Amino acid sequence: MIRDITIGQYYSTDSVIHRMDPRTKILWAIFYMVILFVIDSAAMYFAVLVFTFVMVYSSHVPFKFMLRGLKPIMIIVVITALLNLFTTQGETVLFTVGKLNVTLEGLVLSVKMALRIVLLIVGTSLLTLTTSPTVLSGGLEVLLSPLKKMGVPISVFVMMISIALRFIPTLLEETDKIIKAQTSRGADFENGNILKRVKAMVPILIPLFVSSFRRADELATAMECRCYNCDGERTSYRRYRFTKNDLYALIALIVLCAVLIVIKVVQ
Amino acid sequence: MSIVEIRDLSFSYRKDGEEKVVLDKLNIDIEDESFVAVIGQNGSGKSTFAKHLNAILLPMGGRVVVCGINTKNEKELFALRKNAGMVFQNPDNQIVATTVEEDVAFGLENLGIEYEEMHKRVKEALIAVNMYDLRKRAPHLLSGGQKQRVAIAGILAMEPRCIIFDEPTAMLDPVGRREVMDTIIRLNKEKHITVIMITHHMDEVVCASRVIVLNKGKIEMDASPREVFKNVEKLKELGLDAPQSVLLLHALKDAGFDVEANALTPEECAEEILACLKKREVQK
Repeated sequence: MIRDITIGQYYSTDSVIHRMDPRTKILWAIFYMVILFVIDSAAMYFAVLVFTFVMVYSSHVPFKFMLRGLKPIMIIVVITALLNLFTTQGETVLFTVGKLNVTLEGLVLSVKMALRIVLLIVGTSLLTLTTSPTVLSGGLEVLLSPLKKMGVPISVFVMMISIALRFIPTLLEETDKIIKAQTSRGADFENGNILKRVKAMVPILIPLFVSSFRRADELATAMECRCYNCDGERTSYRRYRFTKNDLYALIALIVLCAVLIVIKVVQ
Repeated sequence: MSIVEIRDLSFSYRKDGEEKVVLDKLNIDIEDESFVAVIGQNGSGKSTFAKHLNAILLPMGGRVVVCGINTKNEKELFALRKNAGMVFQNPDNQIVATTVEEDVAFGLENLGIEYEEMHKRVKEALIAVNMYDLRKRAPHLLSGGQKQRVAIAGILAMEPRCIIFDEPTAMLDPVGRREVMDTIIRLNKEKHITVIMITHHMDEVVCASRVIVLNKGKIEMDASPREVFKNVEKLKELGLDAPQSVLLLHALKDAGFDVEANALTPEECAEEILACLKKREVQK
């Protein structure tokens, strides 16, 4: 059940996108998000949709895997779509449910919003699916390094992120174990109303918190023993190099922007 | 030459308003390239002792000098920790990075080692612990023994002169224990790294060249494994065990068989029993 969550997961395989420099991919993801919020016409959506499909296809991440990652987001998508559908004011009323009018404008807007969220998730999870967490945080560190001069402790943030990512599978495993242990003692997580179910989570969360703190303490000691010093200058095991692939990615981005601008102008 | 020099080391802490002495004026010298096992009951102070060796804890009385560096000397802290690495009990809680090779590189990144040198050392360390083929793996996909070997490689890459193991096999299955012990023995024999190992498993103590038995913060025994395990009675008094082969021979001796109870390994034990059986054949 917990293992279904694919956001933030890395899909280990080899593809053009996997081999790309993390910095390119991060910049790319930011541009992509901006584009998603700029576009408004159906044609533009279509262009971005095609582009996203091409990217997912060339990343060698199976579509099924991508879709599974969308499952938990579906509730948000549906709620957003429904809200937009019923609350948007417009001229052409399609039909009425109770006191709420469903307008053509509302329908269009809700489809757009739903598509926008789905694309946002697919596009950004493509970043994490094709970039191992360490590479990703390494790329972030390089990109954000100008902030270091302003006294922002970027390396510490990056270390925190990568440790968090490192411990996600470990803690998931532990959660599974605790759930099984509590179930074997008669805890019931599946029945009852929401309040009861939330209460049932307490015996899972408390042991999980306690053990996380113990882990954090031991990890900190182990890191100190390996000469970790958050203020010190560190070297990196990885080197980030701008390759041909990155050039292609940037060209793809420019082409996408050009297409969108052309569409905008034509309209 | 001694790599560890401990003089009058004392350590205590307050609990419920009471002063609890953990280490009581310890004096220990450890030879370079030796393999020392430290055993003792829970609460005997053996973990506290280990933590003093690379300045995780600082002595309240006396001094600890490791690789010629006093642990109280803050300026030399990194030099000390680079030279005296430490491997802990829980392999999960000492792996920092998301892949094996990057975790091994962690210490080197901290020391500011250059790119080429770092890659060379990571490779060497992984080969030394037989984990090179799994260098791209994520740590949570490894077995306990493999994780612990990664942790050892992470220390090894820093090229320490001495490694302190704090119950490195306590959380492992028998296969994992074997892998880790073989690795530790090899590092001591082939790389000439001084090993100081805290352990609960008496079968592992047999690998050491010297055993220090701690009890209530004091040294109770300090001799070769063979000497220490001769005195099974005293070990039992201290709440400790002996290797099964030793216990078996003692039981046989008590039952009136003509055996010498000074074998350590199962092989030696088997030989001793065979010899005893042969003597009986001859007598018949």
